Amino acid sequence: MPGVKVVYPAFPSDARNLIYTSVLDPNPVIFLENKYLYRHVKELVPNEIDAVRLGSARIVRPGQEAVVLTYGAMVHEAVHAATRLAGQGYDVMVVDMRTLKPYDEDAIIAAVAATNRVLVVHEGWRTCGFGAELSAVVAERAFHLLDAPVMRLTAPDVPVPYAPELEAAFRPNADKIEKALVELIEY
Amino acid sequence: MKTIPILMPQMGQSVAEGTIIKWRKQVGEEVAADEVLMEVESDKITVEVESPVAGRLNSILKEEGARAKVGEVVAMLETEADIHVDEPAEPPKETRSNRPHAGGDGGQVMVSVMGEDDWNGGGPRLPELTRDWLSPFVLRLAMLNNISLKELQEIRGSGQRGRVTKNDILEYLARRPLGATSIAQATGKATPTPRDVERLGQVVPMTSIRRTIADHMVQSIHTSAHVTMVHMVDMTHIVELRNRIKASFERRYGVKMSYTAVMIYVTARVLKDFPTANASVFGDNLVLRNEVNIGCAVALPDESLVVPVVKNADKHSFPEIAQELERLIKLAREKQLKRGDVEGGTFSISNFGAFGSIIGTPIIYQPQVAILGMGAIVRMPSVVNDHVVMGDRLYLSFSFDHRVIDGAQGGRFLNAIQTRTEALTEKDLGCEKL
Repeated sequence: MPGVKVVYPAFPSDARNLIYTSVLDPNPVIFLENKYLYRHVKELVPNEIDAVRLGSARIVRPGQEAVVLTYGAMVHEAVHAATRLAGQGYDVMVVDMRTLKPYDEDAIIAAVAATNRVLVVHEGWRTCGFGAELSAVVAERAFHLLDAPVMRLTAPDVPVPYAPELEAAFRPNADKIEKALVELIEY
Repeated sequence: MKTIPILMPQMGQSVAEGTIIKWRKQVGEEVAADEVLMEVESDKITVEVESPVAGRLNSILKEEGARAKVGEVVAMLETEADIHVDEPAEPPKETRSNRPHAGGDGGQVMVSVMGEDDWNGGGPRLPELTRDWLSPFVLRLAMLNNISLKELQEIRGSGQRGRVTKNDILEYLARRPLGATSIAQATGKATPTPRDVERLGQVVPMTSIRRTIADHMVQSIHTSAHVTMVHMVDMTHIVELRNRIKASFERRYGVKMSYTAVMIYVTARVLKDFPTANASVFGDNLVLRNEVNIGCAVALPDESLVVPVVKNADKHSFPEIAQELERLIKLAREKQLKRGDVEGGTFSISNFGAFGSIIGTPIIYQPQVAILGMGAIVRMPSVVNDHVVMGDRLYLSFSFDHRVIDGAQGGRFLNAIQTRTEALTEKDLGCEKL
């Protein structure tokens, strides 16, 4: 939808800073809050507001062997997976997009240049999901930097199930991210 | 009747491979248990390898002169003996794909219902590859670094199906020798074969020992921060003493009274006061060694070099040290040194004075932290109490690892050696009644 900005924070401090920037922005901003994160992620938020520019991503965890491009609740799952993989000798970068529109193309290219392997993770459906957009920009602008095909990990193209077991199977999580990263790094 | 593999044995911690010097048994020949099967040369020593069981040599997989990695099968033996044999070690896998990972399989419940492709979220996995596939990034690196397609094909890939990954090419670039580009470009080969370089001159392949020495020297230079200091020691009275008693010393103890033995004797005692010089570096740790074992570099007639070790030199009298040194040198010249004779050194001494050199800069024998070099003893004038007098002088070159030992410490160490050497008495050397 042209003219609309979309913000999707993953951390309490980002949520506070980004809502501030969103309110000051002259354009309409859709501010998405992940319900799952409400009581799951806790953080001491400083009093000073850091006016985060809309459209700037953040490297949550540095790494050299692969990068996970993600946002929202999946940032935490990806960090979890990357931490476990660090114990096995894999060095994975995690990038929190923070803003989905406009998204931070330069940060993506820089992350690909540093790692040469990309895993895109999001909770939404696979087809026409936001991950498709991220994959496309990597292929368009960073093709020469790729040492493996771009990989996507998303929810499958099925209705969201209700039963907890089915929901767990539906939703990407740290285990699935870990498995995908191993495959990507070993490729 | 069954056939068991004969493996290249482990011959010391850092030994990765050995060269088969001689097969004592031929194919088809019977061999008794513990009978010598072959001779293997490695890391400066030669080892006789015995057959684990009685049997018949079925086949030889590595001919004389061939090299084999530790654990590699070199021959097959037929035997009646009922023994369990360890499978030969697999060559180490380059990839990490066989590592267990904690990833559970969250989607497994659904697999039987939906089929994995629908449910794995990531959708179809990455495409299957052939070894020839080169990623855009690898191609770009190859282009920027003038790596030819032929070179690319010779790089061992660690990726899926052995494809060459970014890391493989970076590692290749790191070890590609400088100046190899022209030969590589001329021949299209990563490592030039003798044929590629023979137009430049006579090609002499390095022996196993030469390669070990070469690797060790370069590794040592890269590892330690070498600093060399030189002291001049007055040997006049030692030379006089030696000239006076050398015949009776040899009669009494059966060996010559050598200056190298004198320096081993003195150094071993001084080292007790300088524990950091009698030490080894392991990673970030310095180990102050309990024993004082002094290695002594010995040049061999075939232009190679071994460093047999005089064990517990601080606890032995001078004649004992002289006898042990002569025994080791004799074994070294005959290539009969055993593993125990070359291992366990904590400090080294190199006497390069035999050919007239007076000062040198010896290279530390890793993982030790210091080495003492002896030049030739020369008669020269020097000033004593404002008078020019003639005397015998020995330059001692002390190379130490500046990571561990500082200049002041090094100077004190050399000073202690000098003082102690100049103060040596006949009693110290066990010669008082000669």
